[in-house]
Amino acid sequence: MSTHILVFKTNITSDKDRNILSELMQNIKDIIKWNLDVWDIDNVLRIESDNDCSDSIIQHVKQAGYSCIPLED
Amino acid sequence: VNEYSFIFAEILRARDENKEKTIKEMAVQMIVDHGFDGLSMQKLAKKAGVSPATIYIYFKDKEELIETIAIEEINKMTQVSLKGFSPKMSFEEGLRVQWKNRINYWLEFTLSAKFTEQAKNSPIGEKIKEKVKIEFANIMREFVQNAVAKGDLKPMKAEIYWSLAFAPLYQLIRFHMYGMGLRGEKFELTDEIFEETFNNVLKSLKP
Repeated sequence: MSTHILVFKTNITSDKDRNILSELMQNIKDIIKWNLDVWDIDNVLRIESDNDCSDSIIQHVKQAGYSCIPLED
Repeated sequence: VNEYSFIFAEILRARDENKEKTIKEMAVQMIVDHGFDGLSMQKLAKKAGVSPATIYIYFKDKEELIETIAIEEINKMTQVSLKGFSPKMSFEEGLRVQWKNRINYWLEFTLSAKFTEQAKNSPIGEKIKEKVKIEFANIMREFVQNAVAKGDLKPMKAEIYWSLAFAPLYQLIRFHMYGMGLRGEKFELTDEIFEETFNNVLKSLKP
């Protein structure tokens, strides 16, 4: 088993938004660790997970009304 | 494998030290050119020729990246500044070595020097103060105390000492790097200018 790093560009900036995100992240079981890069212009959501749970993350974050786009090469 | 698989990077894949080094070097360049706010992880990835996910393997966020670089750069500056220096040297010899080392640092590691100056004057500077080796400050303090004890240096406040002992040097380095004097003429920090300034500074510091 290997750990993946998943990164997404988001529009999550305020403390309130971050709290909402925090709750969302608790509901996705594959996530080992997550953090939001609050200094970066892209408000990058960084996730360590056991497997590819990108679809699930994007779905959850989008459902909460935020944008969540994989950071491409 | 699905459409997002290209953004994956396995942590277990051997951490490539060259890759990490390139990321840090490009970050220093971007920060010197555009400031801390001008550094975006995505742009940095492009410049370093890696995927954004790769940067996030090494660093959890931009703050951690900048902090890591700042600590390394400040330690490098310390190393260069202490080359061939001992706090037991006579005041004149020790200060001369300090001047030479600091000139070398600015001329050989210009980008590092610019970055370090920027970092020291930012909130990051405050944050990393405790993590950076305090060895340098202690050695310089010992040097000054020895010089005062030997009667080679007037006792004075640390800020006055620094302003007299080093501010003139940094101004000369600035003129040299700019390549221009006060009236727009070509300027170069020659050995003669070094000696004349150094001797005047020494005079102002001796009892």
